[in-house]
Amino acid sequence: MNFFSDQGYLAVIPEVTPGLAVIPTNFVPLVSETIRTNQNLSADQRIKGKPWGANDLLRGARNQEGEVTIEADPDNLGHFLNMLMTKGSSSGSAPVGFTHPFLSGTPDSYSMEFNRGAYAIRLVGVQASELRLEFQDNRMQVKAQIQALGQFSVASLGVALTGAGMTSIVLDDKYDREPTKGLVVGDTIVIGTDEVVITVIVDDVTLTIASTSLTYSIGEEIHLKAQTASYTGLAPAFNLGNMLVGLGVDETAATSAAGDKSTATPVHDFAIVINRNVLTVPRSGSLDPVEIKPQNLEGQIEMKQLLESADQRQAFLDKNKQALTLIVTGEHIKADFSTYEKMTFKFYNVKLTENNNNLEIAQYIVDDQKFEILYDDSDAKAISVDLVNNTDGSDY
Amino acid sequence: MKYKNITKKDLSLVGVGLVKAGEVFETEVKINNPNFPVTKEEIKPQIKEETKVEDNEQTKVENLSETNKDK
Repeated sequence: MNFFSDQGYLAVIPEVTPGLAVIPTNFVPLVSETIRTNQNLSADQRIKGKPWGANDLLRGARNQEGEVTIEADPDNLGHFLNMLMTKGSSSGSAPVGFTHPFLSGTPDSYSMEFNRGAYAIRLVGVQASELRLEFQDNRMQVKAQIQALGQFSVASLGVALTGAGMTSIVLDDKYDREPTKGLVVGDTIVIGTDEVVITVIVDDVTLTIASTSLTYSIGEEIHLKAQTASYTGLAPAFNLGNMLVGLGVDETAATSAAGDKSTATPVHDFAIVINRNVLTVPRSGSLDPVEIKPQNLEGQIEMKQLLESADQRQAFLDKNKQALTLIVTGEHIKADFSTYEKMTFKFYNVKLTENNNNLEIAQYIVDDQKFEILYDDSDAKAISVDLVNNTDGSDY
Repeated sequence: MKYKNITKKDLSLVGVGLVKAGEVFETEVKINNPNFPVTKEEIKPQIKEETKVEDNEQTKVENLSETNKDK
C-alpha cells in the first residue's frame, strides 16, 4: 500500500502546559511541510578490532524542526501568529467578527499533528522560531519555521501481549526514556492490526486501555492513528490586491496613509520576516529541548515599488526613520457589509538597509528595498498586529 | 455508529460530508476526531423538515399548474 500526500492533514491546537499534548482539532489546509526528527546520529567508530570502521550508531542531541507552509487565510493565520507572538484579549462577537491583537512576547505552545499516511506524527511544545509572510500568485502565504519539544509517531512494544483481557501496553524505551510523551488520553493507537483507545497514561512507558484480546510479541510496531479530518468553511487567503501599504514619519502618519488608495504606496512585491532566534540547545532533563527560549527579536521587510522620486534613496542614505503600516482586507463578516476580515501590521520604526535602483533593459526602475524592523523609542514598541476574523478568541 | 458534532461550527468531515453544529448522524465510516465523539443521542428528524419543504414546493407547483389550467 502507498500513501498520497494530498490525503494527509495538518491539525493544530494551543496547549495549556507547553509540551503536554492536546489532541489537535483545528485542521489547517497545508501547502507543504518539512518537519523532521534530527537525532544527530553518528557512526560508532570506537576501536574494537573490527575490519570495518563502525558497527553501530550513537545518539546525539535531538530536535524536531522544519518548515510549514500554509495559505494565509484570516482564521488559520491567527494560529501561526499565536505561535510567534503574544495574543492580547480578543474582543468582538460572531455577527461582527472578532479582533485579536498580537504583540511581541511569549507565544502559545501548540500541539501539531500531521497524517503521513502510514502513521500520524504529533509534535508537542511547538512554537514558531521564524515567520515569513509573502505573496505567491498574489495570495499571502505563511512559511513558519517551527521547533518542538518532542514528538510521538511510531513506537515499539516493550512487553509482550499474551491474549485475552489485556489492559496495559508498555512501550519500549529505545528512542526515549519517556516513550509516552506526545500521547494523551483519548488517542487511538494502532498495534499490529488492532486499534485501541488510551484511557490512562500511567507513567513514562505504560498506557492503560479497555480490556482487549491482544497477542503481540516484544518489538511489535505501534503508531498513532490518523484522525478523520474536518474543516470549517474556509475563507480565501489574503490577497495582495486587497492590501494597502502606508509609509510615514511615524505610526500615525503611516496608518493614515494606509487608510486610502490615494495616499497608500503601491507595492509590487512584499514580504515580512520576523525571527525570534530561539534557543533550543540540549540540556539535562530531556533528549529533546526542554524549553524553547526566545533571544533577540528581529525582522525585515522586503518591498518593491516603482521609482517615483528620490525620497527613498534619501531615506536610505541618511538612515532616516520611517513607519510602515500594512492593512489587508478579506471578505465581509457582518451581513450589512460593515465589517471585514482584516489584518493590520504596524511597524513603528523601519530603516532601509538596501535600496537599489538598478537599470535593466526594457524595465521600469524600481525601489528594490529591504527594511530592518527596529524598536521605536517613542512608541515603546517595534510591531503590533491586529487580526479581525470569524474565529472566537477561545480557539487561540 | 452514531456521532455528534460537538463544536459550534458546521464542519465538513472527510468521508462523511457537511455536519451542522450539534448535529447527530449515523455512519459506517469509523470517525477518529474529538470534534465528533460517539453518542447515544437520537438523530433529530431533519429529513422530515426537508420533506415538508419539498411538499410545500410540490404544492406550489401543483397550484401553479392549476392556475395555468384556469388560464
